[in-house]
Amino acid sequence: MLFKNVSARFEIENSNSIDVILEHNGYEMVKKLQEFTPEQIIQEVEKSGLRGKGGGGALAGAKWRLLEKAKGKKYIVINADESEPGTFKDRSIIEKDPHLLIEGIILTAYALNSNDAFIYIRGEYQEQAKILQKAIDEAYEKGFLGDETIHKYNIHLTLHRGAGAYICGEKSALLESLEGKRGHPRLKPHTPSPEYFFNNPTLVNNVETIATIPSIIKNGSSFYKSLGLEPSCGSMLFGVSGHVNKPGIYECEFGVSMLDYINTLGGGVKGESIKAVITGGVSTGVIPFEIVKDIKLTYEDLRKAGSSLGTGGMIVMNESTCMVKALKNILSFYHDESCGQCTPCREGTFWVDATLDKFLDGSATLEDIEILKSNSKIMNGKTVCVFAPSVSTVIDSFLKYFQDEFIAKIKVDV
Amino acid sequence: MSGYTFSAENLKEIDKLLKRYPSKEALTLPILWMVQNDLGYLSNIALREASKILDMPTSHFYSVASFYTMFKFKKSEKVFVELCKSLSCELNNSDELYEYLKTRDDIELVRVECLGSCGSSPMCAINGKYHENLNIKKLDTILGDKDAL
Repeated sequence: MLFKNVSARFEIENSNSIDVILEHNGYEMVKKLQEFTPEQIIQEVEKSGLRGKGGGGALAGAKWRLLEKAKGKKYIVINADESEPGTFKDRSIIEKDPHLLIEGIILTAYALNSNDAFIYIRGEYQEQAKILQKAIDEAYEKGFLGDETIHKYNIHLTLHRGAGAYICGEKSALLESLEGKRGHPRLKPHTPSPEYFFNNPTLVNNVETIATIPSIIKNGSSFYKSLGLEPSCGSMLFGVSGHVNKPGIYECEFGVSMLDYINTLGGGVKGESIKAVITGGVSTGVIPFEIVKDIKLTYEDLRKAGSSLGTGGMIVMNESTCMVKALKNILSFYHDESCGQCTPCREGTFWVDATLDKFLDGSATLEDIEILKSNSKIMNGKTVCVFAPSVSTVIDSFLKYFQDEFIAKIKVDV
Repeated sequence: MSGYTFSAENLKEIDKLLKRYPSKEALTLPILWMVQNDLGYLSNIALREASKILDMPTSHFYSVASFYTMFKFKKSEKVFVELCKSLSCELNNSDELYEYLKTRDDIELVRVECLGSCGSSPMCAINGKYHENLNIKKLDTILGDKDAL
């Protein structure tokens, strides 16, 4: 079941050191950079069917093409602001193979005619930032980065630390933050367009997406496309945590059974049985076991189940889990992390969080179920970014499958 | 109170970064980090000095810094413990660690959102360093060794 593509070098001792990685085909494609034209690289990515691994799952090639067509000085920004609860895959790439990410960045920058790239890493990843900075310094020393590189393409890479704000994982909020401002998401244009960094066209891609590029260029787009279950092509660093015996990150092709993944790679459920699974970071909503058992890990299967694949970070909950408490945990997270820009989100997350407290302290009434539902409706589709609609999805999914548990908490007669 | 001066090393880093970004405003977060790494918090005097370097008002630094949870306006006098309260940690008994940590008066305790250690939960960061797969006994040992923190 395990399929090691991006994670191929994770087990090598000292795999984050450049000397070690150079003995294991490190920077192989960068050394051959001048054998490819930028257009060839873009086409390979387009043909591979690679989809963004940060949660949205949009086609990476289409996003690249938007930048390729844009005029002006171009920037590449890597989103390493991994903060979605249940998600810890980008961290594994940074810790275990940072040079793969740098290699991917060089290929991407060359393909898109950009000479400046930034990695925006969440502030809490202090150790990871040190590992990455050391890797960047090593790549400069060896001539892979800088003004006079051995591959004859100038590129500078700068590590930029965030400082604790979940919303900065949203690409436009990330760019605001990178510009030295508060991380408020921007209004989106109605037509497809690249992002802008100080008014310069910019590509924002997730760490794993970019770390996949070297393998696509090396093995060819048809190889990558043959993996997985079209249109969910390739492999992904899925993760599993919560009530499982072997939590961790295990790379698989798309299309494996969710239950097999949990039972084999995840070591099975800790406890008697699986009650429910949050499918790809808390923002994707919850599905009960009856649905889990038939799910294949593809974007399409999870969409059909009313959830989404998200970041691929599954949280497993066993029979002892109180779903009201679980939703309260998630809502207290959203309440803390709402950036406060849009009223439905700022106030809605507060109200739902406070209403859930009533269920837990026994003061809720039947009307409070309606308050949860109406707040969910108010938050959906009326805000600048997708933060609040995600909150709606989560509330709706908990009420859809586990409303009985909420009603059971009602002790007040009205 | 005497003034604040950025170290020669930091000034050199600022010069390097000014060439990397399209606009100097982008140096806001890097400079805030320099100050906090140096003093342990953001002092008014240091922010006034930062405002001279970027030629932006001091209020800009306050406005930006107050958005991000990691910037501090007061120095932590005690060992700073950030206990992750996200779902995977909660499912693996982080509440138990919280009850235990609450009883210790030699630490400053905050409960924080997901720190990206769901696969090695429950966990906390002590003075910024991650400690994972915790239980009370392990935590007690870690906090007992003050020199190692």
